[in-house]
Amino acid sequence: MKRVLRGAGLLICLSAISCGGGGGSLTGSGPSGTGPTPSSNVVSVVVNGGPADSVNTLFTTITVCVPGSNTCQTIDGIQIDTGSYGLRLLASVVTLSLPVSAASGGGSLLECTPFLDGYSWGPVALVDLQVSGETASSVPVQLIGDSRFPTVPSDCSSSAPVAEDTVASFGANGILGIGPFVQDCGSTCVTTAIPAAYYSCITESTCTNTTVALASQVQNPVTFFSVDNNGSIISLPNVASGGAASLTGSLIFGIDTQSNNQLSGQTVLAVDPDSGFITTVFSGQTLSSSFIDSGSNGIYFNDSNIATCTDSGFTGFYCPAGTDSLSATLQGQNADGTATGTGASASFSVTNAETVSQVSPDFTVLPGLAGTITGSGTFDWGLPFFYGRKIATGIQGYTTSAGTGPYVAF
Amino acid sequence: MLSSTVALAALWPCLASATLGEPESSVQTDSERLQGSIKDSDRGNYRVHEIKLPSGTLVREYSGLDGQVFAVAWNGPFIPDMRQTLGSYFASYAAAAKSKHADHRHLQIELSDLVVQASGHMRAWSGRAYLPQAIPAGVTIGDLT
Repeated sequence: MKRVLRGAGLLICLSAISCGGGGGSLTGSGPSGTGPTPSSNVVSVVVNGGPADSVNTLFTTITVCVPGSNTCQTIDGIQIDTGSYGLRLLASVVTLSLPVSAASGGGSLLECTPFLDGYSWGPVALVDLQVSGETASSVPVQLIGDSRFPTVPSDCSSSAPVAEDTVASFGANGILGIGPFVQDCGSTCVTTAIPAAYYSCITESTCTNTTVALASQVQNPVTFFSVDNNGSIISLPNVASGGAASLTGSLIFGIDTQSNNQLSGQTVLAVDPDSGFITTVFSGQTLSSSFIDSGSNGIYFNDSNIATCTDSGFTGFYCPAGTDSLSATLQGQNADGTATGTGASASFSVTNAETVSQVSPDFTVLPGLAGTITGSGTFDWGLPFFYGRKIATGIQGYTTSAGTGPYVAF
Repeated sequence: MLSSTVALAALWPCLASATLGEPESSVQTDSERLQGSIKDSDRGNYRVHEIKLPSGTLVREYSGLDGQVFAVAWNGPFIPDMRQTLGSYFASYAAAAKSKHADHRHLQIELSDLVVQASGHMRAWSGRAYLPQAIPAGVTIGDLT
């Protein structure tokens, strides 16, 4: 439970046979058996803790190359994230010399990525990407913690509590953002030099906020593929309510482009084209800031009927006496925030976060991990929602037989 | 459009003096200069000043009748400058986040004198920070959205 509580993670390190060090192994050691046979648009994905002992975090392996060359490197422990856009690599694991992009106003193009728990600073560089049989050329990616640019601008370091510029602090060797949008910023950054976003750096320590064209922004690499470029599908097997040491599934590129990525029987939910939000109806409440997110490590929602944990290490997580079985309805959402479509119901369960960490301290697959969330209008369907489901993400502006993105379908 | 963006950018550091735990600054003057980009509302025993940042993010400052800012809430495509928002509380926010780390999508810090809660995903974040001991009587946490 390292990513729930650092102290508990240390306990894992003491009790587990191996800890930290290498990247996420694709085979794992849990009861999940063999994964599907890879084909050209399918890559194996695994929940196994990865390089930083993270629970409910989905990883894969990619290959990056110096653009236009055969100089390549395979990197495992790459988190699969439908809640962000673009590939970000920890510079400490990259052995290639990658070309840094130029800013429109001169100098190097740098980026600050403020996630809520920390900020990540580093240059935008181009890579050729290979994942499964798919290839993408000259993709703008972020190199986090690049020693060539050690000076973090003050507006970047003010955007979040701590720096996340190492594998341990970031929780992965990199992150592959394949959510329903194309760029990580979009049109706002084309017209406005926003604080803690993109920078033009004329020296490593002389950086100013800058605008950046859409094509130069860090962006969803799926759109660079030649064929299977309209979205992706994450397919994970079911897991027992008590959890598992690891879980193996597949990430399939494209929607309705091959025989293995057809949507059938799934409900398509349009997501708000500005925010990516859907609407969740839960316990009589209509929650219009909801989202489905493989990058969240639990189901986060508010239900005052469920006891929260008392251990200070589990602040905000739920600790019911047994297992609570619940359900909600997920609906699509228009640009004005109103719900659209009839939606689909989904059941989920909540188990005691403290108990499972004590009974199964080496488990990284915790389907009942759930906690509270800020505000009254939000429901975050994190990775446990993906267990036992096949969830598609349609990218904004790309058309499939199920409709034009942005959407999610399950 | 361009001029109002410039005005906002120039005024935000000034407005940020209305930081958590500090006196509400010259919000009325700022509001006039911002030409409506600040929305004030009086809710009886507290006031809310809503500021739209150039990034599109909305920041709402809650001040009591004593003029002290007791809470700040935000939502939008970018996270606001937390050092400006939290002021002298930034250090304890940073220290607390170090010891409690979940994923990249949630932050929940509960100290005796400071609560920070935030969630969201890229392009759509929301959160709030408040001083639990400074919340005026009759105000509930649910009001701070």
